[in-house]
Amino acid sequence: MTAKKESAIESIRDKVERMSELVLAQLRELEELLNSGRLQLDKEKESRFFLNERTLDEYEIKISEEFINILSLHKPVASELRLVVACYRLSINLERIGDMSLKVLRVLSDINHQPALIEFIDEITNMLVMASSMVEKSLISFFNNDIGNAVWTLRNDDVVDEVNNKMIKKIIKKNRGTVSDSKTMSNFINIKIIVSNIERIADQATNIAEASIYYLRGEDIRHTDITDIESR
Amino acid sequence: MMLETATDTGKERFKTREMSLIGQAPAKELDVRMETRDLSVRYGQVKAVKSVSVPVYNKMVTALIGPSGCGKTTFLRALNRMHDLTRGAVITGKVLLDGNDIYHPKVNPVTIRRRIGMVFQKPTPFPTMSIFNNVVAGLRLVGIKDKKFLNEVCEKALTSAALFDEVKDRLSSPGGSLSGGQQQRLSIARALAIEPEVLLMDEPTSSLDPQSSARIEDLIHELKENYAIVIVTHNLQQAGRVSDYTGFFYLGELIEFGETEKIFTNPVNRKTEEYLTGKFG
Repeated sequence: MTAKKESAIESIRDKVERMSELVLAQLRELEELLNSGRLQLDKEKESRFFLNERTLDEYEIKISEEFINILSLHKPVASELRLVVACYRLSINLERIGDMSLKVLRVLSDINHQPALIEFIDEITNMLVMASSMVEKSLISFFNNDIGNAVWTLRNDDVVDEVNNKMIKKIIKKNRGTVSDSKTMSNFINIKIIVSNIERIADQATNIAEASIYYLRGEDIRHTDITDIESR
Repeated sequence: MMLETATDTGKERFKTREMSLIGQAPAKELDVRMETRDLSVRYGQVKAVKSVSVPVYNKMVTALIGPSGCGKTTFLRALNRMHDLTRGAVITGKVLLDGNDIYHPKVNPVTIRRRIGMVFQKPTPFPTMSIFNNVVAGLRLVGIKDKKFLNEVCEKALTSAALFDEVKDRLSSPGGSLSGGQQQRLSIARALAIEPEVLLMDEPTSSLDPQSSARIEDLIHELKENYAIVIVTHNLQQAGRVSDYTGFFYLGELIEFGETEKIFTNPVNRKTEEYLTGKFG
């Protein structure tokens, strides 16, 4: 590998690593927020959250540029090609997770301390912890060349989906015929938005796990049954 | 009524498309044109090619890659008995063309070289010979003199080599008057004029500028419709662009052989990976 190509690939990988650290920090902030029961960030943390989100957007664009440059100038092949393709895929997934985290933060702050939210706070927290773990493990898989964590992430996607479905059913059942005012209705819609975004964060984690497996094994396992992957 | 018909047609079309997407892709029909079995080439004590067994598929381009001195050109030259002219070269193993061993004692090497054409690294026109005579030189060598037939072959070969339009008005000009890229296409035309079944190319673009190289690559893509092509190249990107199958040679051994897409994205052997990513070679 030429020094120039090596440093270009290092650079894109470093940026994805920094994006990953930012995304995990955002998710940790949300977890702490839910655990603390305050549900609203103080001004300093909130502005850092927004700043991180903007930084993630900038990284996504920078990584996209570097990805194109590496392909056109260095023409990587084999594991180098898979690495830069995976980096590009990860940058898109991480940016989306950043967007969704911000959405969760905004909606949480909109319905702060509403009884409807308090009622579901434990389920939402558990779901977020699960989705965050999936994001973390999928990233560990990629950066530590560890297939096991990617498979763990893929296996847990169904678990998060299941929690999401159960919560939606619970919300509907609990409030059937009792929602009398538009404010309560709006709160339940907002809870639905929060859980849907958390569920999508878990989906993005599975995308990262798939990109990691592509990098490590050279197999595109998107839309493949998890049992087929585990049996390989 | 018109709308219903249009919708039905649309649905039908969509269904067909969906089926073709969901259904398994038909397996490629691979027709083995040539094949080597435990082919080794030795110069004195030096074993340049070591027990290589590999297929050459018809209507496909096979690229041979590897660092300098890895044996790929020696291997290529063994495919049309060019080592017969090299002192001290010893060939063992088999090279089969349509199932028949080209090294069988009863096989005439000249006949083999008519069936298996070769294009070299540097353009090899006879510089003072006319373009026309360059193209038909091989046919004249085997005694063909029919002017009408030679004219037809010349036009066909130059057209196949994507050169006819550029030289049709100056067929009597010397081959040496053409540009480097044109000279290489003239060499290809000469190889095609004898109507070979397999075309061997030894770094055919290494002495050409990017534009001329691109023309040769386009030409290889067109020619594979009718020939089995084996190309030796140092240019990995070229191997990736033009070939369907790739073989990686290292220290005289065929380390890995497979579909080009697979070799370039997910090679099995660590040595192949290291070579492709520039860690050696």
